[in-house]
Amino acid sequence: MSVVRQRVFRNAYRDSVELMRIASEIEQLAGIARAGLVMATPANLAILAEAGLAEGLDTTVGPNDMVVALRADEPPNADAALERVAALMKAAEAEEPGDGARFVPTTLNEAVVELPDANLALISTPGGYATAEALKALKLGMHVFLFSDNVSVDDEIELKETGRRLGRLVMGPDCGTAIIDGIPLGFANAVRRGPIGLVGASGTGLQQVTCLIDAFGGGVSQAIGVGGRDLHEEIGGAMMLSALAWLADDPGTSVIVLISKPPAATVMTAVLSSAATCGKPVVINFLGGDPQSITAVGCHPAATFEDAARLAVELSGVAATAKSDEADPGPAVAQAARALSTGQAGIIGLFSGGSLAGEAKLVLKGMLGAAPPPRIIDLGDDEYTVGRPHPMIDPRLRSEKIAEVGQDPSVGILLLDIVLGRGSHPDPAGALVPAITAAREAARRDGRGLAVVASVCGTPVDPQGLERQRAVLVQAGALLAESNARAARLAGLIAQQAAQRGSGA
Amino acid sequence: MDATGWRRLSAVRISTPIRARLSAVPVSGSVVGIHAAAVNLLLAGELVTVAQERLGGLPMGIAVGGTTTFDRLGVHTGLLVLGDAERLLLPDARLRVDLGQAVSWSPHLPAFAVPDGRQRSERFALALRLAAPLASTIGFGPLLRALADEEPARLAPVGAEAAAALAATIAFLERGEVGQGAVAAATLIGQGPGATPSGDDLLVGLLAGLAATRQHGAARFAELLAAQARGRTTRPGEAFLLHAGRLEFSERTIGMTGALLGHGVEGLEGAIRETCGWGASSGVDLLTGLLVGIAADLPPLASALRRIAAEAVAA
Repeated sequence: MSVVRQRVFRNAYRDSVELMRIASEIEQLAGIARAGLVMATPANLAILAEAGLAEGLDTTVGPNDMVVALRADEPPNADAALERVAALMKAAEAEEPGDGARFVPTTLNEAVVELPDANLALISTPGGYATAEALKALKLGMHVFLFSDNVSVDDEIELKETGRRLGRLVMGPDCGTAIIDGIPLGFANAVRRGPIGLVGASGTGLQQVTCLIDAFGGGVSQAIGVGGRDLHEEIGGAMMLSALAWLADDPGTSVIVLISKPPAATVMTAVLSSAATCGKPVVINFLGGDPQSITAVGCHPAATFEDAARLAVELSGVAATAKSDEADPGPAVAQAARALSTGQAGIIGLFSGGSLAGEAKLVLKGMLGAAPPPRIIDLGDDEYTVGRPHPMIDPRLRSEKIAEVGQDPSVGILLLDIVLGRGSHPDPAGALVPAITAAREAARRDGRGLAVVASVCGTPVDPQGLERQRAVLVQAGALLAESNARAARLAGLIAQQAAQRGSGA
Repeated sequence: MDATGWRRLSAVRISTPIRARLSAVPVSGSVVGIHAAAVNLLLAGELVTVAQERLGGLPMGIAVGGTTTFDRLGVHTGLLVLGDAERLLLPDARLRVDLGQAVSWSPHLPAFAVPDGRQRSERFALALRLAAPLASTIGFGPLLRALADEEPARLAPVGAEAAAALAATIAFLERGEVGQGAVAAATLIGQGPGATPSGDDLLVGLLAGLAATRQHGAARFAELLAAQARGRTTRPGEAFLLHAGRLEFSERTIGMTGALLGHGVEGLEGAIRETCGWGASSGVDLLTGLLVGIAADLPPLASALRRIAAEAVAA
């Protein structure tokens, strides 16, 4: 027996993106079968009525009122969900200071008056305005963390040249993460402080390495993002070189880690030359790059993010803890492969982190032999994020895609990354569980199996709780690996065994 | 903030209908909606939007420079607003918007050169192909993808009903029954999520497409459709439709229309990418309507819409 409940918010306008976020959270609550948040126009009321959600609705509502309508399994769950909506709406309003509230600056100049000692500006305006704001900040003597994307290459060159001239860092554009003096910026994890300094042109790559450093018992002095294009020919690695020099001079840093896709050839030479002469051990993870050129200059190559973290921790004088030594995956692999049907050796990776997707591709490359090539999808790519929030914030698109996987008889292994930390969804694993369960159930009904392999990028003190997130996934039947690279390898091993069974080998 | 404790914002652009309204006689009203990038005012019964310049020209809009965050200015719904040709004042928030230096901008749809049927057909197909991968999963994104013939079977009932309404509208317009066409299209007013519901965005796009390609009865159709908007949708949705009824559109809509009808296709991909990025689904909804509008007199469109509606019902 289900119940229908509504709540009306009079004269309440909310941006569509905000409504989507609230609807997404409400649909994940216990016992909620359906929820709608709409402006009460006649057309929308008709749709609510058709969906059976308008029963008992206040007849005085008008087009400028917002209606939340939901169907729940029992009244307490419905009431709890409506309370949650009210709290979310109120939280949004609370961010709007009223008369007499604390002054909130609306320009950089006003901000500097308020906080004259500030030396870093975080800029997250639309790309078209970002360059001007960043230049202003640099000229005011600040370092810049530039979260904005859609900044042209020419503007990036100008910003970074200005930054170098003024002795300031320009982290970005499109910089997703940094930890400066222990303060997380953008998407970042709560990691232990220590002597390892990182520079990365890769957002989730930087997050993965910092989390694994934490897991292995090490600590982070600074994690400096430089934006994904920094090591392109045109930009010349300007900020990786600057950040490297900063870390070389930083007394709190004894080991340096550089993370990127392979740089342009000329940039590679410049970076390696600076790394070789910086006076501190440097671990370099140029995903898929040539390790020999790194070894040749006396630096330490790392093939994966995990290797980079482990090497850095060891070089910092800490014996990497046993956390990384997982049990032999053999039995789990064999069991998972046995549950798959003949011909079900395909891997699909649905990733929220672009660098993690890149690493998984690389690990799986050449590993699969007779098995079909993996389909690794970065759902944070522009192609998937137009009109909706990033999958690290909003899990709905990934849930839809996971549910579709259950219908595909060629897929035997679903590979996932779960990224925790500030800025990420409050319960990213929990949000995916209904879809994982539905996909496994759909496969089972069809007489097939579906192995779900995942890794969680996070730390025990992240707001979402590493162990809590892992437990949720295990409960949903997922095989967990300690790192993204290991998860990809685990998926590859299952695919290999399934393919061998299929070919009768 | 000035010496008297008032915060002053400088308008950089003002739409010609709003300038005319404010110049005619001083008006008063109240704040009716606040967003980060804009604040909506109801002045003498008409919606006026004060917005960040980056949103482009709005038919009911006043653009202010910089990146003012309106929901951080201590402005609340219900606050008194006074306005004249020189300024808008919100005395209780100690906020003043200076209009004196603002440049006038006309939201009236320019007279575009209209490509012939074959060229429009090709442009329509190309635009659909470019937009389909960018279409949102909410609003009328699925309808746009169905028109591109990618996922016709996945259309939800709301999208199918919209396809049927558009097919009927086009059929009425083809027969010259403009009033009946407006009634058919009006079923989409106020439909969907957001402060400007998806149906309104789609209809604004439709009116722009029909008018820009100078289809028979387009102006009268716009007038009749807009007349039905009052009280059936949100204030912003209603305002956009009322202006569209007078063939006044946002700068972004005009730009997208120009990109679709322009001489070459060089800028089309960029324009579509930008449009599809507006709001949660607003840009995609508008583009869907716009494409239907520019191709309304081309026979394949009506049959495609009917087929989509029928297939969705059958599924």
